[in-house]
Amino acid sequence: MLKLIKTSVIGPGHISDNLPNQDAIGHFISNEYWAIVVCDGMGSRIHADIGSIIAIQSIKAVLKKSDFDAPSKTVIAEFYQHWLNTLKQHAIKPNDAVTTVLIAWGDHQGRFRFFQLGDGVICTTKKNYTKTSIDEFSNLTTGLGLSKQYGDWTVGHGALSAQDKAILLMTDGISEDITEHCEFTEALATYSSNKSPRRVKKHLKDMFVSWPTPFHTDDKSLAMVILNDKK
Amino acid sequence: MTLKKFVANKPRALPVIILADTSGSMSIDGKINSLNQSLKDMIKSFAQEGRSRAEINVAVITFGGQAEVHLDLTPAYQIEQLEELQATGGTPLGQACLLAKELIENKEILPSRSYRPVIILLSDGHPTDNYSSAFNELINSDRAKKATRLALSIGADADDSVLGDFNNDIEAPLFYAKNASDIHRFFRAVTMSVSNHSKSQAPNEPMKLDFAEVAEGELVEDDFELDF
Repeated sequence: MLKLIKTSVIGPGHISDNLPNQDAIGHFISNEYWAIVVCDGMGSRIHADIGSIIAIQSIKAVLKKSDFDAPSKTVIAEFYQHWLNTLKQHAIKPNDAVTTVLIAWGDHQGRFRFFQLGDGVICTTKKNYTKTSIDEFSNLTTGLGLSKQYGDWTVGHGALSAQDKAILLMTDGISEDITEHCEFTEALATYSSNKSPRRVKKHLKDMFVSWPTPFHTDDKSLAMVILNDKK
Repeated sequence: MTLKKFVANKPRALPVIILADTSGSMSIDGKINSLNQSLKDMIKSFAQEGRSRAEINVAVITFGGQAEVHLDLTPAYQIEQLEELQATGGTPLGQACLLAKELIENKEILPSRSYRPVIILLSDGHPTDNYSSAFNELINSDRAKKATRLALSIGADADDSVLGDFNNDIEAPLFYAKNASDIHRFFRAVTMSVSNHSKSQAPNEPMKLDFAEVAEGELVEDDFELDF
């Protein structure tokens, strides 16, 4: 049995500039598979908010009909093209709607695949799957609408288990200010284990609003799947 | 509930690192005085930024006679007084580059969550040490390559070739200061640019980056065949 937590809160920077939340989150659960998706629209682009929402829609639409064992490059190319086509229908240039992408796609036994383009973090309670370089600075990112190379993506697979029971996706608005990603994931999974998703979501929203990092500005979004012991 | 304990309580820094030529020739025509005043004005302005989305940090490395860290990387609002730079000796640029590289690569001082640094090199003469290796190591280091690097050429005797190689901002080519007041003008421009960047909607994006369309070109094997 799976428990799903997801929430997104607009950052103080966008509130003061009278702009919308440019992050978007989404999920689907079917009898066999589930997916969680988190997208962070690039702040300087005029349609960043729409770019991230359409990315969620495109990814969900493509994953729902994709073979779970399909090659990563094929899956990415399909939802990327879906995103481009949808933007075209809205007469929006890709460059005006750049967005990062974080995806976890799994089955009910705990197997999962992940896909990442741009910043943010994908991790479980035991492993951080995001390629990070200590030489990077926090302002270097890419996304749909900028990248055209498969090599820009981080892809892979893993498995949730009783020992490693949760996978977390978080935008850089959270991950850049978190010191220990796996430990945070573990703590959040533990906190969530005996509470309703609604209660966890409220707690997270309160924490994001009163975020301890001085001068924080970013929108903050996360999505998490927890493998629950309860049947 | 202890989730908050995982959240950093320090703001993200926007580092501004000055590599300042303080060789003897800087004492001529009021150049060092202008530089001192410009740095003080810049730091004061950064310190007064009330609505910043990043904490502007400043470091000053001088090279005159010998290279030294004149000011450790410090939040601007914490800098009470900048000790006056003194112009003396030769122009040991290589030594300064070693210090700069050491600073930039120090993950304790400049954690990866910092915003992209701005590094400024200013000089009125030719290097007097065997600078080439240290200079190349600095500008080719992974972190310095990602920084915004600006250069100021002061007077007619500056080594514009070296300064031009240092500069990596195609939108802000090598700036020439013919006189002391031009040094002021340069630092005013830097101050405005950094201040605006720290308050911008996206300080996490490179300063002055031109978000041009994705360049069209031949597809390579790694590319997606996407209809943009």
